[in-house]
Amino acid sequence: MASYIFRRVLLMFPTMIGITLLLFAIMRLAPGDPAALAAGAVGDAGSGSLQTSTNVEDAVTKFRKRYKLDEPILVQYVFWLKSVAQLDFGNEFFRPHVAVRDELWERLKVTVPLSLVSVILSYLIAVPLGIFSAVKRGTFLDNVLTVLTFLLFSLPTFWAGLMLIILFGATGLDILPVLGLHDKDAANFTSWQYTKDLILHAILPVACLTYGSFAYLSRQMRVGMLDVIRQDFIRTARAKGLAEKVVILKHALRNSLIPVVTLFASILPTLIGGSVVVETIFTIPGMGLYAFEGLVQRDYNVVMATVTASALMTLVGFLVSDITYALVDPRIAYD
Amino acid sequence: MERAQAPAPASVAQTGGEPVRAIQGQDYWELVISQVRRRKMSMFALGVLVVLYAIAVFAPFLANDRPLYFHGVDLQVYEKAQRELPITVQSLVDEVRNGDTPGAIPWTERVEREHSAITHRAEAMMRQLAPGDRDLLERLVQSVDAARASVRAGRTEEAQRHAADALELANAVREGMSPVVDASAAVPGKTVALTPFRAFPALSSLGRADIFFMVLWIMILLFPLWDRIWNRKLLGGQQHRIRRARKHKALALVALPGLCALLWQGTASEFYVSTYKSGLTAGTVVAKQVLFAPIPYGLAESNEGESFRPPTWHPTAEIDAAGYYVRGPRAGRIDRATGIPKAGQPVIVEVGEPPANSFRRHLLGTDSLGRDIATRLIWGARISLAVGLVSTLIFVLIGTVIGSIAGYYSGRTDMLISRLIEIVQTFPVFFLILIMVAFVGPSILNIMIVIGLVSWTGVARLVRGEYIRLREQDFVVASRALGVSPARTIFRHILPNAMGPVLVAATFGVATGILIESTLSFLGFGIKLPIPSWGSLFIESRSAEHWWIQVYPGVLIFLTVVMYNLFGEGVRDALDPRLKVTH
Repeated sequence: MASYIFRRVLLMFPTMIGITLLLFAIMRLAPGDPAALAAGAVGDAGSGSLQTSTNVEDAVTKFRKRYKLDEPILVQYVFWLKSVAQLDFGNEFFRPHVAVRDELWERLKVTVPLSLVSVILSYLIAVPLGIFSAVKRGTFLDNVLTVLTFLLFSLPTFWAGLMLIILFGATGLDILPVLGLHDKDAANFTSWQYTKDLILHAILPVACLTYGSFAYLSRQMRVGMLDVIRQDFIRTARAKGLAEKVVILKHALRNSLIPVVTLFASILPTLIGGSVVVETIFTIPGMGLYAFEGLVQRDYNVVMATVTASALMTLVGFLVSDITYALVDPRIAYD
Repeated sequence: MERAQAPAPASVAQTGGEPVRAIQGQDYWELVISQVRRRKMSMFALGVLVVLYAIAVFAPFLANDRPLYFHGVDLQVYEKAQRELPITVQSLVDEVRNGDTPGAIPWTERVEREHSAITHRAEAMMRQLAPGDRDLLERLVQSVDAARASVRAGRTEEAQRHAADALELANAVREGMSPVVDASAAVPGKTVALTPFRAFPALSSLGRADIFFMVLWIMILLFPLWDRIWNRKLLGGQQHRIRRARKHKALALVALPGLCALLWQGTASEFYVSTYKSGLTAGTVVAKQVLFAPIPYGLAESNEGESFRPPTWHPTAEIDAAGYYVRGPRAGRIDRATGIPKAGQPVIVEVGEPPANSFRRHLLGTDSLGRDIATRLIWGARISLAVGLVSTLIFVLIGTVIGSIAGYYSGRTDMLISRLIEIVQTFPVFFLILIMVAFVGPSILNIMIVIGLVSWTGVARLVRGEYIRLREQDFVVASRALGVSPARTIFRHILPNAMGPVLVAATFGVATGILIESTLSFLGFGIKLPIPSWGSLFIESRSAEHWWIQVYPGVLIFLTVVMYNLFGEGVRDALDPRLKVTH
């Protein structure tokens, strides 16, 4: 087991290098010059015309030198890798006094709790619902649940977010805040008010992040449970006179949970991708919104940092899921 | 040995009085199709998809500011041609007089251009004239023809004479052939009465691609019909011949639309693109009969005074004659935010459009420029559905090729490819697509390619698994023993047997492609074309106050995705081997 984990961790390095190198190359080879953008922003923004005065040219050259944009891509990449190894993602292009690392850390403090809450919630809802659906197979309620989860699974996240805002925001029922995570007066709140405010603000984004994975998980749970219920050992358990509750919750549940637990890894990338959408819609200052802002401004450092963070999170998710798989199912041996 | 004992074919088995039908097993694809057909939900989903594609393909007939059918006179076009005729003839005269001066374009070519400019205008006029009134124009065309012929032959003086004749005639046309609608009002030598003509403006504005997909759609819809006729009449209902004819049917399915598209003569005859709606409203186009599309708005047609108008069936959409909203958040003559009286902008209702407060006017509301959302949705279906299909095609192609190679060649190749698949699978896919599109540039082709490039791993894994299963089977061993090349074994012998799971993945893939594209467009990294995609319609307004802009495109995306997933589930169930045993 230990050697398996070690090998998996080793394999993460080439994967990370592959991902980052690919994205690095895409960004550097793509048209569009942040140096010119920055020089335009710093220099003569008022005039609106693109004059190639020595001033601007100077600024562009300086900018390029500073961010090593005049070196070959591979050299740039090695430099980037070197600084990342020291946990330095550079500074933002357009707010040069802000270190991307610090900002990213602040943003992660928003995104990670949101994602965790949403993962836990989706498991908490999906597992009982999946079991219920499987046990009551073919009944009206099962059909309703199946259709519902199917529809939720096909629902585009961004549209769900927009509809939630329309429904619950000021134009609709007007019962939930739809902007950000805190009220504008949150600084003066007591801790109780602060928590209540935070929860109210988080309801819609979390719902938006959760429903997709919840629908997926509960479908998988149902299928897994149905597969297990058909097996011989369940028949044996029933034959020896165990209560149905015990058969389902002790014998069947444990076995059907195995595949569902490992699905954690496959919902993680979706969750991270979804965070871009959800955080943009609800203007939550998390990593997703940070990535979005970086993309809009073509800030290489921000984009590379957010991508590295999300790729790392995905890889760790896969690793954790593989390890849990081995832990919960002793039949699986890794050698 | 075994062959000799095989059951006799159906034709031989007719011993005794009654013909005995040989029991013929269904082959793989027949089984799949019959299984899918048995599933009502997936057939329903297929039906809805067919309708959605019909909306996309037949968009020009559903939402268009040009009429479907027009019978009447067009003073606008006639007068424009009449006005321009002397000018174009004058430039021909100049061209001929200047002679063969050096220039970027050869002299004869320049004369040719002037010639076609003149004849097009003359034809546009003659189309609306009774045969007796065409005399002047016919002579004009003859002179111009003669001038061109002389230029070609190098007889400059003759050409000059003909051109001068033409100019005289053109001036006569200009002076003496002004149009009137009413025949009794015509003054000989001064005005002529126009005769109504028939036109199909929406149809004649179609391009070759439009025609291809329209014919293709009709052929797919009628497939059960012509398939049956083909099987019975051409193939005599014999199953082995029907199976062999599949390839020909697929070819016919593409070839016939392709042929129609090639033969299509598009807008060539329509020299002037008349703006029918404004012409009819201003009276410069007079119709005896005109038929508009169900939604009489153009894709980019803005409507003044109707910016962000709610769906017209909604109470808040009512506008009074001065252009003020009667109720709802925008009611009142004074701007609540600034306290300054708002300028009212009356709704301009053109001929062919529903009245200003009819519920049919803008069923799904309008955007910032007063463009009809329903129209933009209908046309946007073209982009959204195309992105889904093409991106799926790309990733299925990549996945199939890579997966086949990995599965067939095992060993080191397989190891390498499997590692690659593993690595790509751990990519945060949506992030990757977002970054690629944001940096490479959001064109429709880029989006299709990027979606295709990152989503092939699922298909590759499926195909690899199928190949590992099939690799050691007898028919593959046999083909290898016969010395068939690996490429042929891989793609001709194994592939058709491995395509089932790919079909399922592709069906779900189309849904995912549409979802990804709409999300990209929603975030602002999407398609910015004259024709919007469903996702890019959201950019018009993010404000919850303009709910109609956010509700309707989403409904269509949702509907399409649900239907593709529903159909995909049906196909997946149909391919489930456990079901093969029971039926």
